Amino acid sequence: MNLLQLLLGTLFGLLLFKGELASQPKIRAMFHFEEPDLFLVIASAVVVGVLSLQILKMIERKGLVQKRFSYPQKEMTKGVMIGGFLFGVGWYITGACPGPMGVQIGAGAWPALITLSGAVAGTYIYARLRHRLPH
Amino acid sequence: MQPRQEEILDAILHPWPWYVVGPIIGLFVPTMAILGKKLGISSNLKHLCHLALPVGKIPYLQYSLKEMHWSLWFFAGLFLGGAIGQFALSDVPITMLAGSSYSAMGLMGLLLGGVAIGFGTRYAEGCTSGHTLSGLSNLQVASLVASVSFFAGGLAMRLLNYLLGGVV
Repeated sequence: MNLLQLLLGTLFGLLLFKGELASQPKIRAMFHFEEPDLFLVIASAVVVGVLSLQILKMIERKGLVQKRFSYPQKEMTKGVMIGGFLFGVGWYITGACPGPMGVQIGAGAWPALITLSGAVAGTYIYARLRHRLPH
Repeated sequence: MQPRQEEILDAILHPWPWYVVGPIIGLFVPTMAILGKKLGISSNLKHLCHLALPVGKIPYLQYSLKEMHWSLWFFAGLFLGGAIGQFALSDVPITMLAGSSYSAMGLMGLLLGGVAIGFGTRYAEGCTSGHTLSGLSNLQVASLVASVSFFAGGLAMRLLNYLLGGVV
């Protein structure tokens, strides 16, 4: 299982790299509405995601498989908006989401190590303050 | 080499178009659903915290990491994918970070931006992979709100950066 996940992660990283989703100038171009590419990557990925989950649910309903699949459930909290907004701020600055920052480091952009360190620190700050934040 | 083969090799060594990258990324959603795993990269930041920093009395960081080892392996793969892409499968390297990010001001920006990403994605309980990719694929309202918030934050930072004369 771990080897499979390593391979899946490697493919995912390669796709993020080759789709230029880990490229800070490309992320800026997206936020400046200069190029449609990244919007199209996201939109086509979500369309494929929605359709394939519908297919999986249909397969389940028809009883074609024994095992149950697991579907991503996300709860609405205040943090979804506030935290989401803060993430967007960081995304614009660094050109990285949590995945692409690993891709950037792997591709030899050493300053992304600072991005990752900051992200781990930010997570720690959240963990410490969590009980005082509105959820 | 045949011209046709050359064309294919050429296409592999260049950035890949959205209609190749997008749909394959989308297929990760059913793949993880079938494997019974949650696709979410930002949770690895929590696992890294758990590993690297004192867990102490922080309830959020007190859990068994054993069940989540697979996720860190996926995360490790991302580094490998970036390295393979840049050093083995590119004729012209793709710029990861603009030159300005290598200045003192730029590095400070990356640090603060990183903190915002870590804090924000954990508070929002997901990032672009957990919310925009997998949550939206399962038509979760929270993920739609999250995705809109991500973009709102980015646009707000764009405006702030503009007002500050392009500081980052």
